[in-house]
Amino acid sequence: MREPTYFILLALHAEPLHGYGIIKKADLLSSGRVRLTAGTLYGALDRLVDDGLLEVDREETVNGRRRRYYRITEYGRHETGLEAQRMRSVVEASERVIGRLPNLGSTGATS
Amino acid sequence: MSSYRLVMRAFPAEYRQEHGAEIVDTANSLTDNRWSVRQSLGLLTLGIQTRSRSAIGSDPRRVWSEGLLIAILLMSSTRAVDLTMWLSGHAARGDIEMIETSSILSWHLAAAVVACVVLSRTTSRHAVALIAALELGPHVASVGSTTLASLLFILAGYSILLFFLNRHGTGARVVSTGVLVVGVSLILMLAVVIQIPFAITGIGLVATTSIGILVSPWDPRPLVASGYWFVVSVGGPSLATAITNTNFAGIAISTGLVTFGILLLVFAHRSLKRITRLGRDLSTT
Repeated sequence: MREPTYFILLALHAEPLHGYGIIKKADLLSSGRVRLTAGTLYGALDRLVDDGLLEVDREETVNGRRRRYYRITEYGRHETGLEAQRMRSVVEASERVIGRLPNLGSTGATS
Repeated sequence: MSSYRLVMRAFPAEYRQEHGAEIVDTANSLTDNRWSVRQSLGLLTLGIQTRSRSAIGSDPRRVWSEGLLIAILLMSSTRAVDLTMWLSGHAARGDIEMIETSSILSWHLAAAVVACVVLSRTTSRHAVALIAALELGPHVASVGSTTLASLLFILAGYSILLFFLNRHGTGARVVSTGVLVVGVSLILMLAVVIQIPFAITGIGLVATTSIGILVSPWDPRPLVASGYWFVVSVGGPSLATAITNTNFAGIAISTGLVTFGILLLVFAHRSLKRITRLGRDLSTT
């Protein structure tokens, strides 16, 4: 699973969001590392809906503009969990080889 | 739709009507209503992907027709670039009469007029056959069977790719990429055969095909179809000739070569990443 795809799924874990909301949440969760374009986002959303990991929650019209909200499915939650486990095993293997990893994320965010 | 109106043309009409306003709204929100190159490139990529995926359905006849149209598009744009530049080069040196250059360009112009009239009314197999005859007949006769081989490779590769996009298959991704690369390589080899700089052919291929897809013949309006075929058959090659004509005086085309090299590297890098990911997916399933 690619990193943008993972953060899109993660962004939708708590509540259904529309396109702009997903991009902002993914940006926040990844500490600014995953900055999706509209094209990347909607391509991924189409694919994830086709694969059954997401589904359309509802549509709203705000100021004459239609917004589509997406929510994660049970299958999507399951796949996100598997990916998280895979990444944890990568980190654990790395730490066994090179020792305790420095917290680069928080260092980068504060510098 | 204001700042991204042009790039939204890359999407199929149905998809644009269904999702266009929402996508543009999101892009505008991200850039405070200012135009952004990054957002435009993202939308352009998604538009072309969506067009390939959604326009086909699952009808094998449609798949092969679309594959043939793409093959003809690639072939005619490349050959038009080659022919125009070859003729311009010889005309500039006085090896060939300008009248001959005009006659070749006139042929392309005539083909463009007929093709756009036909395409504006139908995209049936008859239209594909007619365009193939008009655009490729003279090329096949003048160069030989390599042209036909390129056409068949691209037709096969693109068609397999469309099957992959529709049915979410996996192995077809590697096969279609390989077959497409062979087809495009054959086209580029033709450039060497008729002594056209390799880089110019590659740049012409990418540029004219990209512009061609943006205003594609699958849009039924006559004006759009006319614009498409004019750009591909006459406009693109003429522009390429005008920009690069000095190269025929023997000046090295370093900028073009570097650009083409970068494009090739990006393509190779992306292909390798996809194949690697596919291999990983296959090994885990």
